[in-house]
Amino acid sequence: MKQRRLLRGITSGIVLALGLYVGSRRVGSLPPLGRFLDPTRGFWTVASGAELPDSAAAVIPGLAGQVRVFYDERSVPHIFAESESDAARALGYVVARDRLFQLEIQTRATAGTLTELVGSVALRADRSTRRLGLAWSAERNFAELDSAAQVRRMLEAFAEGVNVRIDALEPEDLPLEYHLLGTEPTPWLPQHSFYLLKRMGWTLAYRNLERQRRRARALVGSEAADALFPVNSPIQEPVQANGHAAPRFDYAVLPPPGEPDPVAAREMQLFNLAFGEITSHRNEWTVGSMLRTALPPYRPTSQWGEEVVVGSNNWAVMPLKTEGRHAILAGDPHLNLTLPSIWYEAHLLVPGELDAYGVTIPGFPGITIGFNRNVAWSFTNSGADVMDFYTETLDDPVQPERYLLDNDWRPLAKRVEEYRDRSGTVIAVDTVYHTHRGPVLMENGDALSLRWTVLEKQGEMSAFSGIAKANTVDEWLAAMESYVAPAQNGIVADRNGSIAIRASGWFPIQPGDGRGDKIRDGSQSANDWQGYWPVGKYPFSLDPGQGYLASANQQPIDPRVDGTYLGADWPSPWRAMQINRLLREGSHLTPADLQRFQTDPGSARADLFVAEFIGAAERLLAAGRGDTLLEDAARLLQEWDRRYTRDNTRAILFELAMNELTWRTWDELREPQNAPAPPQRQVQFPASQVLASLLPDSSSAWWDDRRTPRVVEDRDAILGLSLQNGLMIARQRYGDEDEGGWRWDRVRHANIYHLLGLPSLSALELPIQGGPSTINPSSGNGTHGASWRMVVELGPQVRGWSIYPGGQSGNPVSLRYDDRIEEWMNGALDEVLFPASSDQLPPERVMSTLLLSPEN
Amino acid sequence: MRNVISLLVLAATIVFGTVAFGWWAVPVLGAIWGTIVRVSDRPTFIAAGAAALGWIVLLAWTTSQGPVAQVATMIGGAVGLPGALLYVVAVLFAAVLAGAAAGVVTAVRGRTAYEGEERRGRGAQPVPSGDLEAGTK
Repeated sequence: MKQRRLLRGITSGIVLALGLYVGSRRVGSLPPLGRFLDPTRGFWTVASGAELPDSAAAVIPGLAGQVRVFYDERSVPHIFAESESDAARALGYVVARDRLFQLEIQTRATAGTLTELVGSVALRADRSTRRLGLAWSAERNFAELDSAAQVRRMLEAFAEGVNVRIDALEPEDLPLEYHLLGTEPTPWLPQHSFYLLKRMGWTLAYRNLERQRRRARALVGSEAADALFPVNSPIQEPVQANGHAAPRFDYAVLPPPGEPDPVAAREMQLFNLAFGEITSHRNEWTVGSMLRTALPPYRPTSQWGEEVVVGSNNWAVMPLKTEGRHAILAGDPHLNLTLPSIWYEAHLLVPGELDAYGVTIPGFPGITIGFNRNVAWSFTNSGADVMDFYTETLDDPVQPERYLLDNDWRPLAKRVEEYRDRSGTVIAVDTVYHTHRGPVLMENGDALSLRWTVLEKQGEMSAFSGIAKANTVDEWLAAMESYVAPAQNGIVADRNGSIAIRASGWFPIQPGDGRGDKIRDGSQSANDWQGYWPVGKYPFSLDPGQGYLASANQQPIDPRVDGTYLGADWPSPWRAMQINRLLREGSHLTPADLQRFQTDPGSARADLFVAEFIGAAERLLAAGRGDTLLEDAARLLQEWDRRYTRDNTRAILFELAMNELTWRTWDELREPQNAPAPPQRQVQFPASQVLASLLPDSSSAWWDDRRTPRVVEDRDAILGLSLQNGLMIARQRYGDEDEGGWRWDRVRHANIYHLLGLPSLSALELPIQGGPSTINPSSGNGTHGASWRMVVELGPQVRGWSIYPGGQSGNPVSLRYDDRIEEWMNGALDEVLFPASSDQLPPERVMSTLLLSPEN
Repeated sequence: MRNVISLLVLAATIVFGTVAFGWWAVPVLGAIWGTIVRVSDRPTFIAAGAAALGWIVLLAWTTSQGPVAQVATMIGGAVGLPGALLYVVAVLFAAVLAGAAAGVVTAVRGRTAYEGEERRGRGAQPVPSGDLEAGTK
């Protein structure tokens, strides 16, 4: 009996101990189950805090006066404050109310402290981040701010708003992700807003041209590689209006593939040693996909295996081309799509100072893209080369103290980086070195330093603050002069009917030949940047005779107008060509037209290549070199209207044929089949505009497929083979052409992942209109797309329309989490509410109010 | 009947305890229950049942406040489980904690009482057949 009792007691004790352990401690990726499952404090409570109450109030001690916030029926907060600082406090509060976890994860991703959230699984990503020095740079920039500076005051005010919200969190207010991870929110520091800007810089301006160029040189020699990745686009449709009424095709004969360049191979090895981890894992190095490794994996696959096309657009038309005789502006920046969205829509109103509507990035104390009563603006990424590498000579390959510059040893700046796990235990320590240029990467005695405008001075805050208050195009352009990075094509229109576009940001002046796509000797200060372009030299257009301006990430300035090196990584201008075609043709454009253009299914790329495929097929068939398969393929392609609508049944054939054409043409850039093909030897294929430039040369050596040594293929043979193989693959994968399996929306989708990459919190396989190189590009695994669409008509009363894929709330249970996705998929935009005062807010359109008061 | 009343009283206490102090109240109240009731009153089962009942009540109340089933489905999807199973896991978790805490205390109490009675020279009494919460009478 005693033994039974003892056994029972021991069993109960073990069960209790286990229960208490899993209740209070993390086990694997599971959070502590006690708090997690608690019906009053656990994840269940997220449901009760999902929607905004009819009214709420909070105290923010630093407020100078009361702030009233009205949420309209689209959950957009209209913030009525008495000062800009108070508006920033209120914005911090409302953003934290809706997007608290997003604030935290973005900050940690930039700071390299994800290990503290998810454990050692994030160590590699954190190390890469800290080696780049994004957070270090942000902290330096913040420390340089004068204590009385307006920018500093805004950052501190925003931080106070966020922290008041964090301090007052009730269990039901804690975002779901904290329950899943078993953590609590950490306080927001003012410099975290700079972290955010640095991260945006990394997203948009981390372009390692040198590495890409060397990879190609190592395989086909310098002359061929330089032609395949040209500094200037072979198709010129520049951002800065060049006076041409059509694109210009500057095709040059491509030199044949040459012998591998051993020097380039050695230089590439140097890159791989120093930066290989950062670049080769770039796709993993996003918050969502990285954290997917800590949770059940889900890896979307690409349908085609083709190059992923990402692109932003903006354009503006002058009154002479619009029906209402007012300027109209449209913008749709394309970024990684996430739930919640990267954007948060808001309206900030401070009487006499600020009245701006648009989107902010959660963590930023102002509007980044939007409009006010007089101007509207938007951005696309410029893609300029603002990053350079230098070989450095160090006094010690392992623990250096100094680096050589002009025969003088200079001290290296050092920062010890400690990585902690969830419990705060240090799990790794690194020392990061910096020269006067930037971070140093070392491996096996080699050292490269990096200079990058993103790590330099911070000027974005004051620029964004200024443009939100501008009244004219000129004022807007003046405010943007302080802007540093990432370089952007900023477009602006005002109520006077003026429009302008300017590529803004610091563009380095290189020594010598001025080229930035090479590694320079770091031991000579003469190789350093010689300064930055003056603002007057920036690519720029104002009120052009053509009546419109547009950008789609293409080369900003025609090299015949100004041949100064600005970069060498310009995407094919297919989107720009399509936008310009639509705008050229339009004479009585309306806001509805511009909204429609944002998802226009036409493609300049398809227009060009379809004709080539069909022409080649006809020539082959006429010469008796084709069969019925080729005949069928040509007939089916001819039936295509070259539009990527969701119900289209021919776009699949074209894309498969294009994929075949790319792989067959650039086979010299592929590794031999029996080669080990390590990731660093995989060469990016040239852009499709380079492929287009090869088409006139029907017997170029590039057409020959080296896998068929007994046959020398020409252009028509490769085009024909690609087309008929495209048809074979289409039939194998999707059935016969008339069986219904070829619908575009069956194969091409947008995939919007939750920040933690959890499928159950994501919106996946969304059928959308558009294909590679349409204005609304859709390619790859569908994780990128139009992150925000906006159209603004600058009439006597400014009217705006907008949409983004997601919703204002970060709470997956909320109706406001993904309520805009369906409209976004259909290309529809909502007309926004833009009241000049709280009296102008129709009560029936106010869904919730929030009163923020100072202490006592 | 007495056991039913005990179960309801303890369940109500666990509801209030969880609301006031969180999940830690469950094992603590289970242990207290094991201390204050007679060993023959099956404190382990009563505690487990009361904890399960208490958390069912709380989950029902929480569910009435918003789309909890949707949350459960989402969380379940994240960890590869049906959402409904999370309800079961939560209730079982509470039951196991309370029952095990009561069981430990009961075992300690039983041993102490047995030893005390031995010291007083009365010896242990036989356990009635079927009494799973065996101890001294």
